[in-house]
Amino acid sequence: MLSLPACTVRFVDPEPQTPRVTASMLRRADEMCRRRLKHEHTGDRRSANAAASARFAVSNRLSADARLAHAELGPPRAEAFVDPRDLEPEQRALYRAAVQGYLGEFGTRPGRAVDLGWQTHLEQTGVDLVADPGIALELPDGRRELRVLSFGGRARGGALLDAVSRRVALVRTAEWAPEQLTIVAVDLIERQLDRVTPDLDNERVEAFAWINERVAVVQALAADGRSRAGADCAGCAFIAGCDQFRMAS
Amino acid sequence: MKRKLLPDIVSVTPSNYDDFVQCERRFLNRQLLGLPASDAGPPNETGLLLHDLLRLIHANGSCADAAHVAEVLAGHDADNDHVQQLVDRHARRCPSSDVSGSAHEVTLARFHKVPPPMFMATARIDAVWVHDGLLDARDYKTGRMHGDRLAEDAAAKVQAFVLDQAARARNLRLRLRYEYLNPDVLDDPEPWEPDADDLGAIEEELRAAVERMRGIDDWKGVADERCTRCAYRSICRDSAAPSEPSWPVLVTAEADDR
Repeated sequence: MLSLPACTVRFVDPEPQTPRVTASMLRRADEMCRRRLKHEHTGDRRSANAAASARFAVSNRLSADARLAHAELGPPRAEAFVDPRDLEPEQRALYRAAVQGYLGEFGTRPGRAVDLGWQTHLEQTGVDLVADPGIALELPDGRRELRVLSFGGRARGGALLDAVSRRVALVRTAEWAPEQLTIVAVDLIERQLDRVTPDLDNERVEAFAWINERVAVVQALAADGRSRAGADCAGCAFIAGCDQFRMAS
Repeated sequence: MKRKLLPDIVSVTPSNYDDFVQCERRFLNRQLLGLPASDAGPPNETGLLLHDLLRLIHANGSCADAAHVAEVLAGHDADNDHVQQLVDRHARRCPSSDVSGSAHEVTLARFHKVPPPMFMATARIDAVWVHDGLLDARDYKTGRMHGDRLAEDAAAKVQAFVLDQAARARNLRLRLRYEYLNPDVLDDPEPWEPDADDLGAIEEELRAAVERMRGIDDWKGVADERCTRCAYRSICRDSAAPSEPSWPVLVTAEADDR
C-alpha cells in the first residue's frame, strides 16, 4: 500500500471550522437575518456572491504599509508608503491623504509592529473572535500601543472607537498586552484623534464577560436560523437555497 | 488582472441606482469603492431627526394628537417651531386615521433571478399604510424637490419594484408618494400608481442596468454641470469642477503624554 504524505489527509479532510464571531455580529445579531447569521457564525463556505473587496483596498493597503514602516524599532519609514498606482485615482487621493495623516500624527514616534493575527479563541464559549484590532506596536520603553485607524465617512458625531470596538480591542490584545496598553483611535481623513489608557484590570474582565454574553446571544439566534427578507439580503453570500427567494423569477 | 468590483449578485438600492443613473463614476466612488466624500454637503441632521420622530409618533399614537406629538418632541429635545411645522405638514397628508395596517422604517427586499444577470433590490421605506385597497408607501423628504414625476425618478423606480412584491402578496394596489415636508416646497409630486406594464418595464430597466455595470471596464464620469454638486468633485478623475478636497488638517485634542 502506498503511503501518503500527512499533509494530503489534512487538505482532503479539513477539520471542522471553529464557529466565529465578529464585531459586527456582536453589535447587530439581534436585528440580523438569522439564516445569514447562522452561516456567517459557523463559517460556512460562501455559496455565491463573494463580496467585492475594493471597498477595503485603501484601508488594507495603508495598514499593511504602516506595519511595514514599523518593521524595525524606530519612527515609521516614509518610504514604506508607496503610491498605489494599481488603484483608481480617487483611491490614490484617499491613500495619500491617509499617509499624510499617519505621518503627521505618528511620524516621529518610534515603535515596532507586532502581528497579532486575525483571531483570538475564546475558551469559555469555544468560538473565535475574528477582528483586525489595528496596528500593534511595541514602543522603545516596552510599552504597548494599539493604533486603530479609520478613513473618514463616519456618521457625524460618531465615536472614533465605540464601546464594542473597544471591548474587542481589549480581548484581542489580552495576551500581547496583559499589563499596560494605550489605544490610539485616529481618523486619518477627518483628522481626529483619541488616546485612551484603559484600566485593564477592570475593563478587560468586563470586556470578556460582555463578549461571552453576546456570543451566547449569537449562538441562540444562529441556532434558530430562520430567514428574513430585508436589509441583510443586500450582499448576502447565502442567497442560494434561501426560502425567501425560491419563487423568484 | 481585472479587479473584482461587483459582487456576484449586485445590490440595487434607491440611492445607488440614482448614483448610477446620474454618473457612473460617482457610483464607482461611493458604492463600489466606498470612498468617503471629499466634498461633503451640509449634514441633514433635521431630516434624520424628523424620520425618527415620525416613527416614534406613529408607534405609540397619532400625528393628529397634538398632545402626543408635543410629548414626543419634548422628549427628544425637538420642541421647536421648525420641527413642529414639519410634523404639521406631514399630519395634513397622513392617512393614519383610516388605515387597517401600517409599518414604519421597514426594509424590503426583492430578488431578480432570470433573465440574467441576477440582482437583489432592497429599499428602506419610511412609512407604509394599508387603506382603501392600497399599499400606500411614503417617502419623507426634507430637502428641495428634484423632480415632479416619480415615474421618471430612478430611486422611486427601485422603491416601486421592491414594494410591488409586497403589494401583490396582499392583493393591494401600489401607490408611492413623496411627502415634501420642507415649507419651501408648495406641492408634492403626484402620487404614482404604477401598473403591471410599468413594473415590468422597471424590472427590465434595472436588469439592463446591472448588465451594463457588468460590462463596464472604465467607469466614466459625466464631466458636466452636475459635477459642481458632487461629493467627489475634488478628487474625481473626470470632474468638471476639480479643487482641493475639504479634508481638514490634522489636529489632536488629547493631552500629549508622549
